Amino acid sequence: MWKRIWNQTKDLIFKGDHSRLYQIVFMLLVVIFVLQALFPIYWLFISSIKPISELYDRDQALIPGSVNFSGYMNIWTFMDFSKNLLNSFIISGFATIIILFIGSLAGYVLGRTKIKGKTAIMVLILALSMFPQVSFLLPLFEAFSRYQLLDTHIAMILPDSAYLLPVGVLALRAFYSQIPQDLERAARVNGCTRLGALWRVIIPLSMPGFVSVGLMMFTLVYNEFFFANLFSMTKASQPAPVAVLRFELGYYQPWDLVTAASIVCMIPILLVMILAHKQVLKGLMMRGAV
Amino acid sequence: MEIKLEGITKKYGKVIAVEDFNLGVEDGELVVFLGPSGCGKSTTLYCIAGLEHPDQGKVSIGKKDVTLLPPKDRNVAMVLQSIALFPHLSIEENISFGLRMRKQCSKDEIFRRVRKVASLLQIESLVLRMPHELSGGQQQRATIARALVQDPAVFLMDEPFANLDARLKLTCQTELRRLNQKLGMTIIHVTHDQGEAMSIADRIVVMNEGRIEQIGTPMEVYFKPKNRLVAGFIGSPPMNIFDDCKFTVKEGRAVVTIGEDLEIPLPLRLTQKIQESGLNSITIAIRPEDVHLVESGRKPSEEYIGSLKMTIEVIEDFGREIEVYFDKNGKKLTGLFPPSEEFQVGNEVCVTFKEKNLYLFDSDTDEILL
Repeated sequence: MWKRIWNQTKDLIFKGDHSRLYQIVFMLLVVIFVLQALFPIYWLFISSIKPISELYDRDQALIPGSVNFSGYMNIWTFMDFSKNLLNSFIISGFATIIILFIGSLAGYVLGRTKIKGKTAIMVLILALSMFPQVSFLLPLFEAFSRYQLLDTHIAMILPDSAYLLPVGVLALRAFYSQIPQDLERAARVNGCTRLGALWRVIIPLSMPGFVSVGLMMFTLVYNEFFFANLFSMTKASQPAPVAVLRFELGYYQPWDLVTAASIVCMIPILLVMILAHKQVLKGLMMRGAV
Repeated sequence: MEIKLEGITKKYGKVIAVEDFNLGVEDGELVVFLGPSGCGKSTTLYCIAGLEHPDQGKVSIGKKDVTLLPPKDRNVAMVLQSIALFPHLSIEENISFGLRMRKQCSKDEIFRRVRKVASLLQIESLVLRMPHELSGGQQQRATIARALVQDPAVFLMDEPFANLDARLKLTCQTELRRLNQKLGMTIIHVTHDQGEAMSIADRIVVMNEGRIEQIGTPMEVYFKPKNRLVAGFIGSPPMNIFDDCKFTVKEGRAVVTIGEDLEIPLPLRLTQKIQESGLNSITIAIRPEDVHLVESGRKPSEEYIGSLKMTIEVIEDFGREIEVYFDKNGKKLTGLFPPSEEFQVGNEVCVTFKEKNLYLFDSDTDEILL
């Protein structure tokens, strides 16, 4: 069976070209690359299912001696991790909605209208997103503490959506500009306003792009650490990644819980990836139909 | 409904797309804007539709000034150059799109009107399909249905047949003419195809570089072109045009010299015109169908003038007619003949022209000499 898989892959990748030595070296490099990318995740995973005694042992084994899922139970009971996950979803969800809403309008104006100085506006917006996050820290902290927004979801939703908006606008603009001008004109001579045409024709047709941008933004906000780490203090607003870092029981860090929570953190993103993959395929198929 | 355009000017940056465009279209008239690509036809149409606002000038539909109204408030329907059916909606949803947007009639009413228009255009069996499942011609008819169903006061068509194959195009042209006569709606049609314009128009507006060159019925622009451009644009195969011809006066008659040794003696009528204009050189133009053959040595009859010895270069048979390309020292001439005549490539023949249909243009201004 392995021989058959090897032969099929070989045909697919090399298409009969190259010498046998080249093929072997190539495959070897691929395997090394994949291993070095996946090993940390593997290490995290086995650490999360090791019994405590093995986890803190001086000699670490690549394959755990026995399996213990207590970490996955304890994060919910001891750490109330579901509250952190919920925070993460609230922050990522709202930030994504804000980005898509403003981005869809801004992308339309910058991508499909003839406005003087469009490029200048575009460059300015992009430049804003290139500043390091830390440069916004002091003013934001001041503002949030004055209006008592620190340690609320808003303290992360607002800066995250503002910081990622330019990328969203740029991506949506690119998707919009692929929709033929005549379709928009057709909508307008058929009784739509410009906004109506955007809502009923342009957005439905750029749906694959819209969803991809949405999923990408969701992931970026979900993984955002800098603002979250500084503006959230307690369970009231702490998203999952920050919570994992701050896990503590008494004076020690419970590594069994940290590793288990880290793995749980990955699951939503994995789901997003699977969704995105489907959406990209769907987008390709629609392109063919149009 | 009648349309009035007064002094329409539209610029894109420094490029002038349309300049000082004046036109009145009567109720029920089918007007065709004709001109080469990029001459401002579509821009003018967009100004009527409301997709663009003119920089200067006034657009009225009916008695109402609509210059600044958005398209949805103008009671116009438009068929766009690319077919532009909404790919995410079925044909039925496409056709009913405008009615649903305007929210003027009930669901039953919409259903009834969509069926009626679909049967008029013979696509009623296709209404539940998606646009990409239809052939080019069917898609074209669906877009026309989408515009027709709104019962517009004005119907605008921007090169709607450009993507169709030759045969389908002819069918669609006849169909459009029939619709115009049957429903009596005002239609403005844009095309760069002079044959299409000639075949369907009540009046043709010939445009070039954002300006109107001539407005007239198909017969007028064909037989009375105002200038060299219109003469060259209308008719297929195109007119034979010889620029900057010198002429001399012999025995009271002007003799025009084409190239070095091709001489055409003009009749008194035209001689007078030239003398009145006081020009040194003129442009002479002859339609291919006005080129005839004479047996060498024989004098052509009264209504024909000139007798040039030319060599047959290429022959194209079309069945109903034969197109013959003549040559003499690099000067080319095209003639159109009935299929009965026999031609042989390489033969030298004597050609003559019908005097009545000879056109003379001022070489400097390109205007016709009247």
